[in-house]
Amino acid sequence: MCLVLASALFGTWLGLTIVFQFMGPSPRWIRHHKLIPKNVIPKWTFFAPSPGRVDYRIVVQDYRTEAEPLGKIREFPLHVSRSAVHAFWNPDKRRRKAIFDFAQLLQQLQQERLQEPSLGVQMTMPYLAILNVIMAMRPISPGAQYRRFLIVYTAGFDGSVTPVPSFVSSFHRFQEENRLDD
Amino acid sequence: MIDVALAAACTRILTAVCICIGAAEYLAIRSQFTGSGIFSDDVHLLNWTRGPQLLVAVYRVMFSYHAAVIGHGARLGLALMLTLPLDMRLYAIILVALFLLQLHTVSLSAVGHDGSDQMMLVVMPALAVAYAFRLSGPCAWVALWFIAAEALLAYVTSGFSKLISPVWRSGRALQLIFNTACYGSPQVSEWLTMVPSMAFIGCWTVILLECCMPLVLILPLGVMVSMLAVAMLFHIGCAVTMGLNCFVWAFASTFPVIYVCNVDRSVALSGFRGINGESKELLLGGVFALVVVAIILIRYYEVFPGVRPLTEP
Repeated sequence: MCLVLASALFGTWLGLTIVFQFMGPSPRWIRHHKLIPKNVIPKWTFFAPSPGRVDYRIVVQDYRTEAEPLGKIREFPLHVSRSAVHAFWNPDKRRRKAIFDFAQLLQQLQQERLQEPSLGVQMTMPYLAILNVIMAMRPISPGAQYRRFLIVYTAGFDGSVTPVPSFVSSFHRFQEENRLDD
Repeated sequence: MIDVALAAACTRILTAVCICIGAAEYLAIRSQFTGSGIFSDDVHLLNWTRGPQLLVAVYRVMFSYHAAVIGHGARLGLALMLTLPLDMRLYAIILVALFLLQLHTVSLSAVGHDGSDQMMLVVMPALAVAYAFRLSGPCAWVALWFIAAEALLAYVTSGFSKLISPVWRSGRALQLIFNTACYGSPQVSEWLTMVPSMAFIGCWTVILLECCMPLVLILPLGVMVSMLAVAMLFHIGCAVTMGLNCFVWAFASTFPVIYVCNVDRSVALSGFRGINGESKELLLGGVFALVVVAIILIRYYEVFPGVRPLTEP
């Protein structure tokens, strides 16, 4: 009996893994089984068939009013230089990957919104997660009431690739308690 | 010669190292799980706000900042225990606990994870089953073969998806990847740009290595060990140039099992030859697995042209 259960369990797991390499969890599967972590059935396509060739960068601008920008456009610090230590210890890679994944999702949502304008991007997890990080970025330009962020994608250490705007956020007002921190 | 006990011990310790590094890294960035962090519970707990009050309350506790920190601390402690000489059944219990904590980690946030986390989710429960049956008998071997199968599936899937990619076949893929700040390196990018032939050779080396990895199960011992050594060098190279440090430990943890599945093939398969009780049970389990996969394919995917999935109205 134990052998039946073990072979059924691992056989099903392996079978689903093989299937999902080619098909991926369908939207119906995800809708019906929200509580099953998708990572239990792994996806083994690393950097293929389309290898990642862009970096996402987030730039921030403060505003006095929605028509009156303040200060310079600043980049949210995201990328760091490769170090030999990263071969053993690289905790920040998870933060960078999370922001990268969220930026990629926002870009996809933006594309979907072009087909379906009523889709609200501002209440999605990727938007809220990035907004939470951006609004806490210091310093706040003196007199600023709003902040907006722009996600661009670019590539190349030599700057040969012109950054392409990927997603523009709405204007977000600073909360008073956040301003008192300055 | 490595026997199954030594192989399982090596897998266990390498798994422990991978989990320790992962948990310690998460603890090092624990500030990201609250306040203005990218994994802040202020934001992620918005995933589920409506529903039965008790369940929502449990959800909010399970995925709070404190739960995240405690969870990663527990992972670190349990992984360290795996390196101690303990009874096999205790290893099984620890591995099951680590599997559940790993599920908690990947459920905390849908992003920020990588292939090493996925591999650990596969290795830990299977190793737990193997230890639960004291590394002997057909059940333990089913679990060990599962680890080997998943690891080799990872390589062949990755290799095949590169093989069908024009970018990889042309040799440009490595130069494109290393030209990014996320996974790249300016020195390697510059070198690959100056020497395009090395980029081409690098791409095809990766493709061929990954596509040929399943052969390690049937190759002679010396060739198998050489291939595993090359794979290890590949992962070390990825760690040094791309910062993918956990991949080394995660995939290396499967190598001892792959080794023993090759060397002890006759032992591994002895329980399954001929029409005996164990063969029938294995066959029954396999049929059940096929039925489940078929049901999922029919229910959720349009597998046959013109036949809608059963969930469609």
